[in-house]
Amino acid sequence: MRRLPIFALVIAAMGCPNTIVVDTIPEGTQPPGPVCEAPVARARRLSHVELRRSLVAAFPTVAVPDTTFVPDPRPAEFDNNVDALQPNSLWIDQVHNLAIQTAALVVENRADALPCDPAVESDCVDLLIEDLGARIFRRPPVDEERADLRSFFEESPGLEDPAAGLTLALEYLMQSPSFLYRIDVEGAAGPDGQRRVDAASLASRLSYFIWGAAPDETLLTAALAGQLETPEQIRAQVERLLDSEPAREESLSFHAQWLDFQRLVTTNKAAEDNFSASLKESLITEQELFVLETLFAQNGTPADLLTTREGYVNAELAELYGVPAPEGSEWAPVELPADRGGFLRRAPFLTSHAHPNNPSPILRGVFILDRLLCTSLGTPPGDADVTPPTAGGATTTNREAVEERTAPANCQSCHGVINPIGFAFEGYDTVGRTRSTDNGVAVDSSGLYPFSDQSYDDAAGLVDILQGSGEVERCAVRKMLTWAWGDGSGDNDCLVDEIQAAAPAGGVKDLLLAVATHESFRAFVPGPTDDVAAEDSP
Amino acid sequence: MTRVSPLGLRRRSFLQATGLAAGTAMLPSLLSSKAAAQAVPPKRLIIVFNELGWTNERLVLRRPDVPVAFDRDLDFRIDDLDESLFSPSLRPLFRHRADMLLIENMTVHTALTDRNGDDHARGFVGVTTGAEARIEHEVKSEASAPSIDQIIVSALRQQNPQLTDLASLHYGVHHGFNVWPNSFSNFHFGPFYRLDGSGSVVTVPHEGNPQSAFDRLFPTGGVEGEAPDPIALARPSVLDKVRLRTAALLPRLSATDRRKLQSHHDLIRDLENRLQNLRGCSAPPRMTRDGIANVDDTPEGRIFRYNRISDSFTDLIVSAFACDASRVATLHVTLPTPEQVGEVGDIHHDFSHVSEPGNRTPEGDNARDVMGRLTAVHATQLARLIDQLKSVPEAGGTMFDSTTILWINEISHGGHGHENQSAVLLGGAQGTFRTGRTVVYGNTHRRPAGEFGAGGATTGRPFNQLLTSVTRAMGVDVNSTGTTSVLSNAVGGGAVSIDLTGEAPLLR
Repeated sequence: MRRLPIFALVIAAMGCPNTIVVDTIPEGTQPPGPVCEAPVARARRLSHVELRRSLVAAFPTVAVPDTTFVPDPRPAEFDNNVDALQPNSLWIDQVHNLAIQTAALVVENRADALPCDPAVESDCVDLLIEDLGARIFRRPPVDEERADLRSFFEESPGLEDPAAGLTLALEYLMQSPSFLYRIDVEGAAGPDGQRRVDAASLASRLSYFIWGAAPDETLLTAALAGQLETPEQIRAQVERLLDSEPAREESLSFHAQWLDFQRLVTTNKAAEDNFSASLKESLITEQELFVLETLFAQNGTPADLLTTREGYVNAELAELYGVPAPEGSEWAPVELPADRGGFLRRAPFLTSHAHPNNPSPILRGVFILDRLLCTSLGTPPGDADVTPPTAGGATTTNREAVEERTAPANCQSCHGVINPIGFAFEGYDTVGRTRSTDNGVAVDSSGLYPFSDQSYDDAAGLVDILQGSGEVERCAVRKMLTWAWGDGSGDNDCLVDEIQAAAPAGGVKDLLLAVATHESFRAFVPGPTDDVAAEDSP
Repeated sequence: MTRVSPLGLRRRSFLQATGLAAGTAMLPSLLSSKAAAQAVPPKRLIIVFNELGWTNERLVLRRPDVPVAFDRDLDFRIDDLDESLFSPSLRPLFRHRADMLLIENMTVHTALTDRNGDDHARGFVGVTTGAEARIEHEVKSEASAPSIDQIIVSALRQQNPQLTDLASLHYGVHHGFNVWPNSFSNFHFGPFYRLDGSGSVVTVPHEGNPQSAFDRLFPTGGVEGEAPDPIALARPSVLDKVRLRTAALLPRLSATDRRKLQSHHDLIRDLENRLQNLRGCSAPPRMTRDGIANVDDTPEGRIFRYNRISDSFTDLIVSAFACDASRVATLHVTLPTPEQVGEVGDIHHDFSHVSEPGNRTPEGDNARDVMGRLTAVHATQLARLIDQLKSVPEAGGTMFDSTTILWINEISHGGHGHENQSAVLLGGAQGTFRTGRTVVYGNTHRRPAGEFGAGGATTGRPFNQLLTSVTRAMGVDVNSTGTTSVLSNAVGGGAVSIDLTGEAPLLR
């Protein structure tokens, strides 16, 4: 089916191809004025995931090549960090080749992928320029871009062969900075003089946050038609975006990075651990279903993250968890035993935070501190022995071996906090099976919570304390803000307070909605300019 | 019009050359390099880095008539050794023994004194930069100074503005299946580092996909006999327009964003230049992506994939050198799978750590044998690379004559050693290095003070001096690389400085 040039029609109808003015907000519908300092608007290079998804969205009928890119740098847990996503020579080349390959496919399938064919329709070029410009740039092209695009059809080889001109135009679009970077444009000020991004920039902010991709036609058309102005209009678009498959996928991206799912993918065990490739695959699926079904689909909260007994199992995991194997289908929801409540007491986390042969109280403790309590202890000193401690000599159990290794005073400044949290999970072995003894000695999972005087006997006790502290809820907001902005906004306490106030239970969708509809999300805060003139050598 | 190949290379010949056809994997002798026309061909450098240590006991060479006591620096010939005296790790290089310079008993001083990073990370940084690490990623580290490949290529590009970003190639060989620990560096943490536009030292990204590497080097296909593609010929003009649009954005950006987009602008210009420069350069055949992607995760599949990727990257390096598109290449080679040497298990736990020199049990001996055989796999890859370089005629000899290969590793044994470290130079850098020998340095330097070194004891020659020698051999006038001195305890108390500057002796 031929794709309709919706963007072009909207733009033409507005009679205002270059400037979208968004300055009229009905009285009484303004959101409260900004209380917190909003994040600075930055030129954000698309991550590899965003790049590919944006091309897929632009050309849904084309099989966009799945180019193997060198992984994006991840200075912290997330791959969308605005400072880390710099251009480099290899990336430029990879984008170049992706543009070449994708352009060839679009031209080959242009009957379905484009609104008209310049090889057979004489008036196609102008329409194509507007349509492709909007699809790729997420806004109408500016006059200079129009001139560039037109030149590919008016000069050799496009003059003789319109398909060649189309190919080159597509390659230009996909390598343009206006596609590869999200550069916010300032729009009209708010009613109290608040500086705001323009409607197209807001549409991009919303869609890349919730979908990890460019705005779809509905969102961009609404933005360009002045229908992304009121809080109600914005909220309605956000709710529409959330109720979609791309939002599920993007939620999985966020949680997978926040909760470090990749660690399981690269986990291997010793032969005696009986950690088969099949079990590993099952655990990978389990942790994904935990996010998709338990957290995202049901608007799960941090409390659910810590305690829910809803789980998804196949026959292999049913055996591991001691529940009846599902009938009829490969995966099914079940109520897991009490000692499997929440993510921390499930095999995916326990297995991936363990060494071959032994669980790792250190890895488990650090994960909870860093990922769930937003408490970073820094890095181990250079002379720290980071090889897995094993019991022997004066020690019999894994706990004793860790205690012995970390006993020196210079270790205890950190391990005095890490170890007690990690020891709570000593009742789970290296592949997440429950155990009551270690090396023939009764497991000791007791501890004293390092941030209060509360003690616990096991993981359940620790989880109760974590849940009661309220810190996990707050940390979840910090992680969400860090993800949303790709910068240090998770440390913006004022913003964290306001998002928590807007979504007190902390459900996943509630948080996404709260961040996306907060006044800061449409604010335009320019970065500082200095007097160092950028080298301009065109 | 038929595209003229400066290599005169025919597709079928390449098929044979890359091992896709049966027989020896040699580039045909009818090749000649673009640089052959020059009176003195340019010097080239390839740094091969393989992870997780080698086992010195299975690497070093000894002559029955030359006792080695480590009490002084000495050297001896190896080009007249019988093959039976070649070590298990180096035996695949026996046929290139006259071109080999084995260097033994060096100390990576910075790795001993550095407080940042784990043993591997300090090794990555130390053996390529001669500097300390800096913490960026938990126990992983970035470097505090660029690696010598980047120092060299920066100097070469200053001397020759025609060179583009392709002047240095960075490839990584991995069999692509999960093995614990799935590569310590995981391609994120070195071991090669460059200065970015803001003056920060960042890891140089590696290309791990030969297909993508091919596309980067030969964007128009580069195969002789194919008609010129008008779209490919017009691509520089596309990039020119992209560059102008990028420049137009700059004035309205913040300072931070302007730096980012300025960098984008410069990189587009570089790509534009490369497309122009690489026109007419011939290429080896493409690896098919499907052929690799569909390899099963079986022992045979892993071995096939590993070898194919290695072979493809070496072919690309040789081709890029022959076109004079590149002068420097780094090849980061991760561990082969145990099946490659007929073993099963976890290399890291079952063999590497067990192989540490203090373990004198039969288990330890077996682990050292296995690690030695794994190193021999790398030596086999290197031998093939040298064969390829020697098959390209240049200036009355071959391209190998102006190429130096530096083979290094981040730890000297399974116990995470940074002393008694070895390195192998292959090729003499147009006569700069005297090959066909082993150089064994004595324990003539003080050991640095710190948690890891008993200050005051003696140790081998600073590894930094080897890095300085190689950098100078490539024509870059430096007297040191990375850190210039570290401290040791003085006899009788106090501290004394250990000098890490200057060249390593006996190499020239």
